[in-house]
Amino acid sequence: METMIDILSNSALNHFITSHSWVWPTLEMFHFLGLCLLLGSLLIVDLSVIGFAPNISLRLVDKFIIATLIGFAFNAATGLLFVVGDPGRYFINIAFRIKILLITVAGLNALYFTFRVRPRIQAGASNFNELSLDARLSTALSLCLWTSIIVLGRFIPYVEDL
Amino acid sequence: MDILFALEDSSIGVMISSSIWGYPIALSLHALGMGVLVGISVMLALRILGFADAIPRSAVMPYWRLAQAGFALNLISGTALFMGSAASLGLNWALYAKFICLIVSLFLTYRMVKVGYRTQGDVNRKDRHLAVAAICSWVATIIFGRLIGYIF
Repeated sequence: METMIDILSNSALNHFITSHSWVWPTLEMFHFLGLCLLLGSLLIVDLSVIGFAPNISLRLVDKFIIATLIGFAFNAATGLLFVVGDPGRYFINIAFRIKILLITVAGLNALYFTFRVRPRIQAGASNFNELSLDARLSTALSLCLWTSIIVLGRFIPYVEDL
Repeated sequence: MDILFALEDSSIGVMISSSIWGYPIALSLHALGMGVLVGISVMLALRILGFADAIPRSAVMPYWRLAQAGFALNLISGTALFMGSAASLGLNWALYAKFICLIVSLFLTYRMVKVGYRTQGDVNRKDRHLAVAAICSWVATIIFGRLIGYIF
C-alpha cells in the first residue's frame, strides 16, 4: 500500500490536482451531481418495485437505470481523482475502506437484480407482491447500501484518527 | 451579529460545533436530503423532457412527495449546521446565493410537477423550458452549496 501511495503521490495527475486550487471543489461539485443522479434514479426504480408509485409499470421503470449508471460513472471518475489527489488520506481511512466494500456489495447486488430479478419482472411480475423474497431483499438492500455509502462518504474527514 | 452568536451558543449550536459526532451526523443527513430532493427533482424534469417516455408523466409525479420529505430533512439538518457556525456562515455570500437558487429551484420544480400531473399529450416548448430551468437551478444550488466551504 505504501508503494501505491508513493506512486500516486508523485504522479503528474496528483501534481495537477494539488497545484490548482479550483480542481478539488470542481471535483466535489461533480461528485455531488453524480450522487443526485444516482440516488434520485435509484429511488424511483427501487421504490417503484416496492410499490411507492403503483401506476408505474415495473417493466418500464428500469429505463431510469441509465441515469443511475451515468451518476455512478460521474462518481467513480471523480472519486478516483480524489484518491489520486490525496492517496495517503484515503487508503488508510476506515470510512473510505468500508465505503469501497459497500460499493462492491452494491455492484454485486445490482448484477443479481439485473440477471435474476429483472427477467422475472420482464416475464410478467407487475408489483411487489408478485416478486419473490430474494427480489424484495435485493431491492431493499440496494436502498440500504447506497444510503450507507453516502453517509460513509460524508464521514471520511471525521474518522481520520480512528 | 448578536443573533448569530446567540445561535452558536444555543444548545443545538454547541452540540453541532463541539460534540464529536454532531457535525458529521448533521452533514450526512444533509447529503442524503440533497440526494433525495435534487435527485428526484432532476428525474422528474428529465421525464418532462421526454426521458423514459413509455412511463406516463402523471405516474412518476407522486415522487415529488418524497422530494419534499428530502427538503424537510435538509431544512432541519441545514438549520442545525448553520447554528453550529452561525457567526461565520452568516457572512458567507455563497450561502445566500444557495438560498436564492434553492427557492427558485423549488418554485420551478413545483410548477413543473403541476404540468406533469396536468398534461396528457406532448408537453409544449414552454414546459420544456421550465424543466431545463429547474435542472440548471438545481445544479447552481449544488455549486453554491459546495462553495460555502471554500468562502471564508
